[in-house]
Amino acid sequence: MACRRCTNHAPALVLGTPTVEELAEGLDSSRTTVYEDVTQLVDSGLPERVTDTQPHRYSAGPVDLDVRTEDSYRITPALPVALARSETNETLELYRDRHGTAGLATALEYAREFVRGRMNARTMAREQELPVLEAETVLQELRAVLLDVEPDITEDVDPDELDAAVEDRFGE
Amino acid sequence: MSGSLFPDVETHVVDTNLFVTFERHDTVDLLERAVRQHDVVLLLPSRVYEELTPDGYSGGIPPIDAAIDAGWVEVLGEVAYTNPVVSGTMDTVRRYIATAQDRPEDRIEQADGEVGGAAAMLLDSGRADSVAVYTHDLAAFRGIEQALAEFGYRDRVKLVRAFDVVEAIENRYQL
Repeated sequence: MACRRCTNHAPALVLGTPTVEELAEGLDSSRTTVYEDVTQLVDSGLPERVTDTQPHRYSAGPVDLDVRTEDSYRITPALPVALARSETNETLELYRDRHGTAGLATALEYAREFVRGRMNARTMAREQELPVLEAETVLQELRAVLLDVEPDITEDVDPDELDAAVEDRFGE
Repeated sequence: MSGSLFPDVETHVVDTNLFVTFERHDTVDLLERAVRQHDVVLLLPSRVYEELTPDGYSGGIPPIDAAIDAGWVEVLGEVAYTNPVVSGTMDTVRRYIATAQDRPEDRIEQADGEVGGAAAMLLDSGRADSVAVYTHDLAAFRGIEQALAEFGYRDRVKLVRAFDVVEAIENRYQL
C-alpha cells in the first residue's frame, strides 16, 4: 500500500471518482504516467473503472474488510488516505515509522472512537504502551483524516444517556 | 463562541489535549496572545504537565516550558487525594470514562480524572470561586460536571470544549 502510485492516487480514488486527467492535476507526473499507474492499479483489482464511455472515471471505495494478523484491525477507506498523508505529515510519518502500517491502522480504530467521544489519549497510551503526548498527537491527526473521509462520523455521547449508563453500571 | 474567548470565571484549568492542538497547528503564539489580552493565566494539573513533557521529548524545549517561563501558564501542585471532594470527583470521572469507552473500571486510572480533581481542589480549598475546565474528553467533561454539581459547585464550574476554543482563538488572531 506504500507504493508510489497508491500514495499519489489513493486519496482521490477513495474519496471520489476522478478521471486520469483530474488525477494528474497537481502532480508532477505526466498524464501518460498517471494513465499507466491507474491501469496497473485496476489490473491489481483496486480501483475499478466506473464508467462505460470516455473519459473514464475510477473509484477505489468503499473498502471495508477485516485483516487478521497478530492484532485484528479493519481496513477502511481512511487507511490509504492516512498512509498517503504520512508521506507529507510529520506526525503520521513518525508514527508509521515507529509502529508500522499495522500500528497506524490500529491507531485509526482508536481515532474513530475518539471522534465519537468514546476514547481518549490516556487509555490509548496505556493499551498501546505509548507516551500520552504521542497518543494525543496521532489521535488528533487521524481525527482530521476521518473527518475528511468519513464525514458522517460524529460525537455520539449523549450526556443524559451517559448519566443513565453510569447509573446502571455503578449505581447503588 | 462569540464575544470573549474565555468564560468569565476566576481560574482556567486546561487538559493536555487543548495544548496539543495548538502545538500541532503551530499556533501556541496565538493562544499566548489571547491569554494575555484577556488577562488570564492557564493552570495545568501536574499530571498534564508531565504528559506534555515526557522523558525523551525530542523537539527541543517543550512549548509548555516556554509558556511557563513567560508566565502565562502555571503548574498546579499535586491534587490532595485525601480531600473527599477531590477523590470523589476523580472517581466519578473515572466511571464516566470507563462507561463511555466500554472498559473495565480498573483499566482507567483514578489519576486520569486529575483535571476534574484539580478543579475540585481549587473550588473546595477556596482558592477559586469559579473554574473553567478546557478539554475535549466528553466523558470526563460530563463526569466533572456531575460530580461537582453533587458536591454543591454546579454554578461555579464551566466546561469549555477544547476544539471550540482553539477554533475561536485561531479565527480571531490568525492573519
